[in-house]
Amino acid sequence: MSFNAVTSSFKVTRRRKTPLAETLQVGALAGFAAIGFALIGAYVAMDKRHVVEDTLTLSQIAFALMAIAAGYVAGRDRQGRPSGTRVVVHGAVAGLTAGLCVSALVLLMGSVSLRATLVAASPMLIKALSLGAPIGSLQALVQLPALGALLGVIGGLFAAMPSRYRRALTYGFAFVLIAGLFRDVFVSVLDNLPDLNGPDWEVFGPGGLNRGSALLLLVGGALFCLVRDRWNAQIDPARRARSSKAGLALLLVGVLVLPLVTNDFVAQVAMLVALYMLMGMGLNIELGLAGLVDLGFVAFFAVGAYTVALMCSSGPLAVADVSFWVALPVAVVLAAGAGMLFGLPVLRVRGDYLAMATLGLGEIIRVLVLSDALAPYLGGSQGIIEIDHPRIFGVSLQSPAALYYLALALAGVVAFISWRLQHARIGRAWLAMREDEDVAQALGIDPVASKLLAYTIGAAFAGAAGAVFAALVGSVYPHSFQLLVSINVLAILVIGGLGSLPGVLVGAIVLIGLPELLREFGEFRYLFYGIALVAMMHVRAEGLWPATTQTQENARA
Amino acid sequence: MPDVLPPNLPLAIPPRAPLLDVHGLKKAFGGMIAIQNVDLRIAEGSVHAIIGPNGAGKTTAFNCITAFVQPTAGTIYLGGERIDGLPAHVVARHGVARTYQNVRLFPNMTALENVLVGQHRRLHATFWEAILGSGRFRREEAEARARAHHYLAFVGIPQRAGDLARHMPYGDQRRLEIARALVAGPRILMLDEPAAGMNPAEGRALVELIERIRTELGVTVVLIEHHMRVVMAVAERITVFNRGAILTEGTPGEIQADERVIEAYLGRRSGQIAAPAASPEPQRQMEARIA
Amino acid sequence: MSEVPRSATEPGAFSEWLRRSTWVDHVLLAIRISVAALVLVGLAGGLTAGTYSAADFVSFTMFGLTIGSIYALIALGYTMVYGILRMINFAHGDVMMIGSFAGLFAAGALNDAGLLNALPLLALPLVLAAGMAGGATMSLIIERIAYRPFLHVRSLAPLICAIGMSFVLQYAARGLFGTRNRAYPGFGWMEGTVSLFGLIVPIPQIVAFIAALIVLAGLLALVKLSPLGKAMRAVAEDRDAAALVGINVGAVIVATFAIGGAMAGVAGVLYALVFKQITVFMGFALGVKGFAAAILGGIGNLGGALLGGLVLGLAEALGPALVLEGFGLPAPYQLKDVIGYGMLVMILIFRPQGLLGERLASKRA
Repeated sequence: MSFNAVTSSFKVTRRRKTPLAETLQVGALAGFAAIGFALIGAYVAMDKRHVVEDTLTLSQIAFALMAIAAGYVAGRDRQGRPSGTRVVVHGAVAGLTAGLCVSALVLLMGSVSLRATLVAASPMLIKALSLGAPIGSLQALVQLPALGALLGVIGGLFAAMPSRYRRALTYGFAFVLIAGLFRDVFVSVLDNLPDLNGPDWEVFGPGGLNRGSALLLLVGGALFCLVRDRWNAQIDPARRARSSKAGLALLLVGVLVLPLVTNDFVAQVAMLVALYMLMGMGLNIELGLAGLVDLGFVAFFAVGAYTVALMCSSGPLAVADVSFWVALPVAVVLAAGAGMLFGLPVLRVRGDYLAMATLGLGEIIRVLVLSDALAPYLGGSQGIIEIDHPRIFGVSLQSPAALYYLALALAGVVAFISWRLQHARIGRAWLAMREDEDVAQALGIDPVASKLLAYTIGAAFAGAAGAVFAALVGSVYPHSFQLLVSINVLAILVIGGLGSLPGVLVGAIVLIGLPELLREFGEFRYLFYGIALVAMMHVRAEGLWPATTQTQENARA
Repeated sequence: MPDVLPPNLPLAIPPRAPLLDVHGLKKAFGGMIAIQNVDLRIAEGSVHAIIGPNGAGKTTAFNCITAFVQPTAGTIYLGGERIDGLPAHVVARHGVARTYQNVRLFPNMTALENVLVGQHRRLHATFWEAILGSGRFRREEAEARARAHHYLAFVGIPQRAGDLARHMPYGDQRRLEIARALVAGPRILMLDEPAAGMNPAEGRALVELIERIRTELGVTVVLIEHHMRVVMAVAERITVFNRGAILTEGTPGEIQADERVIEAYLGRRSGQIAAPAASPEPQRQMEARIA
Repeated sequence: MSEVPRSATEPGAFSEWLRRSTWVDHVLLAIRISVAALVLVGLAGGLTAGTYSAADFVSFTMFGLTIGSIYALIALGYTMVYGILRMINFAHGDVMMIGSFAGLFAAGALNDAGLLNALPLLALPLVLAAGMAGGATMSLIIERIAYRPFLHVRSLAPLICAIGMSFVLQYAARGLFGTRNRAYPGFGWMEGTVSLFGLIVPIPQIVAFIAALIVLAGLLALVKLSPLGKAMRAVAEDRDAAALVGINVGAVIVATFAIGGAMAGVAGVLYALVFKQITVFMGFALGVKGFAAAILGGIGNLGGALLGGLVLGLAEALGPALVLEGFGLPAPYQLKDVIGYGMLVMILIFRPQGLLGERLASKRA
């Protein structure tokens, strides 16, 4: 998604600053980021998570990364060759500045009580930021800037080293971080595997990696990267293009076997990921292909869920008690109908308007469902319970793994439909509309009709997701249908790459799977989403798994 | 056909029946009148050039005909059917295709995809057929691709099929835009400054291409152009715009001999023949808006 | 200048409409007719039901005007930014929330210093100023992060960035300030009601209404009279041309965001005074309604924002009693928000250019 039609010759010019001023600014920014991180309560929450057992917690790593990043940015050479002193001095100054900012916060919190205003400025935070030194002591105040300067220098050196070693180190570090954070998943996998290592050597401690295994992973990851880079340099580009397909295949295999090799909790998370994939594919048609920013997506999800709830429940509100497989198509058709009905008036307007109008729409549905006026039919805030589980060949799908495969199968069907449409007349019309609506119309494409079709199909997919959701959870409540669901789906698309089907998979894993597995993230999930949306637009607007490569391949075929 | 023509047309009917018949076209933006009293009659199978100084309203006339903007007044008939006031996609379906003064391709789509989009109204496989991959859908897609390659070759860029439009050189972008317009099978092709930014060799190639569009495809061509060499080489008739109205119309020979045309371009003042002035309104309005 | 007749056989208006219209227009007409019928039926029912007395309606109206003036202040930010950038600042509602919290902390500090009760008439402007400063600062940060980097390209990036910023603000504020409802420390003199022309009106409503009018008047004067206002209008007309004649477009955009943010900050403080409690999530609903007010009045039109705000406020205050009551729904006031959001959709159905808007056709809007 990067339709960079230049609309204005006017450009913003930035004033150049002296290198030292820039370094100080970078350091201060990192410091403020760290202060913000501490004051929103993230530091204390994430301090409980050990990545390396008894050595490093998640929040310590976050702080260290901020200082290293500051040093890296400050030490990066802008012109000419990097000199050793520049790297060290600027890195140190940036890190020191960041450390001083945090020290100042500790000092302030120690002398004035800020808790009336800032709820997270607790004694616990002061204690955690003192890193074991006596609270209020000189050591507690000095060690942060010193550590900051040290880490800043490391960041500077990191910037100066040849890029392949930098990549190697990044890989090694990422390995450690992933292994440490997803300890539970790995442990459950290891438990299910045949016992090869023997019980005498434990990779994981009760909270995170053990020190020895962390070191091993760091070195192993770096070596892996170096070897892979050498391998990649030798083979021709055509084969490398194929490796992206191999990567996709590997991902698919992983997705298929996942619940078999892990525990029920992971299967439950995977089920949620599959559900969001289903919704992601729906919004992908609207946003990714047709460029419609739809924030009322959750409304159609709700239509699907309530349809199944009313048709497949033995509760008092049910209008029927039929099989899930009968209710599913009804839910899809009703959701599509709702999409068409609401789409028509709002689709005549352009992007930004549409976002707001659909936002209002989603809220209307939620308020209506919650209201007393409709409570006799939809249960109001009590919701509808006792929804039957779907049955296949007389077997009730109840285990998380079974439901996961149900959601995954539907996601597969939907992916297939999306893929077919994308490469047909209508899909091309959507892309053309997204690129230049006026020109597309001058080529004979009816803008309202094609947008409406995208909106209707998106709504139908959302309805399918809602139907599955009702069956998975066994009950529906209005609070399951908040705006946040729409935002989740939007973020999945943006992070994965607008218009890209594998991007939906990647996005759902990153945004739905990871936060579920990282319980400490729970509270900060939407903050993280917000930052991810902003950062993605700045750094990599095309997403983690962009769509452009596909269209080009398609044209060559 | 005559019974649907507006009855207030002058009786002098050109030798060939007009494919495009514009009468009394007027467009005002706010209080500023961009064009008025524009009558155009484009004969079927002809190449018709529109020339005139910058700001004369040529592109505005194009935009009115293709329904990019809605005209304030006037009627437009294409092959006897009235097309003014219809939405742009309906006008396109009547057989009007165009290119743009500043090339407007779909930048992040490949050349092939651009031309495939151009075939939108030629394809008929339904939504369900596309999902199920029916025989008709497959056949139609294969035909569409073949046709797309054919038209890319027709305009001389067969090797560009897989390139993203925004990565193509400027001259090829212009050709691609023409291919995208032609592939829809239009009755009339409207080119807005197709030779802009081209060197003489490219200009000659363009003249040849326009000739082939007319002779091989039988498409009527209307073009706005500043390059007189191109205009004189391809056009059968030329309409001269000046200050929002039509100054004169004739064959290339007549236009070259017309003093008023030279004046309009060079701005020489001559007492007897005043160009049909657009009202002083525009300027007043502009001042009012700035103040 | 004589108009050229369209055609000598000018067909009737209806057949001309039939010729020009497409199936979209026909379906829309059907939707319009059914919505209008629904509203009329509800209205007739509400008027004949007689659940509420005339005095009730008058007090609903007063309340509608108050909340409407707050919507108008929020709408101004949308409308000004839209006028200049042709983009919607999605995070604008959260700017209002930040302004409200800035006012809360200022009021808390003034209360601790004893000024709130000692100098009540000075304290209120100070609190408002704090709200304005908070809103303006936040608005500038949003401009810097979500809009300035994408100024010269046309893409969804600013919108998505702004959606992201909205969530960053909400959840950062939640982490910083907690989830519980907060209330401004009491302005003693604001408790209670006054009798105005025989009507009993709570004082905060009057204060909010008057303060909103003063701020609005100041803003209108600024835009109509000052050089900055002239530059803003020039940039709104044509950004490139404005840059060519030497207007610092970047500075004008920054000023626009700052002013819009300050207005939202005022709205946040006034909202807190009227409703007595604020939360970190209040920006969302108020933002959507402010936006609805902006397009109701005609986006890009300052007077329209005022009109749209008041109309929306009245519709929300009177709608449940007048229209929903007519259908005999239980607890119609639960559906107040449906009316607010519904107005947004209705405007798009009936008149996308808004009440006072004409410049922007629906397609370019």
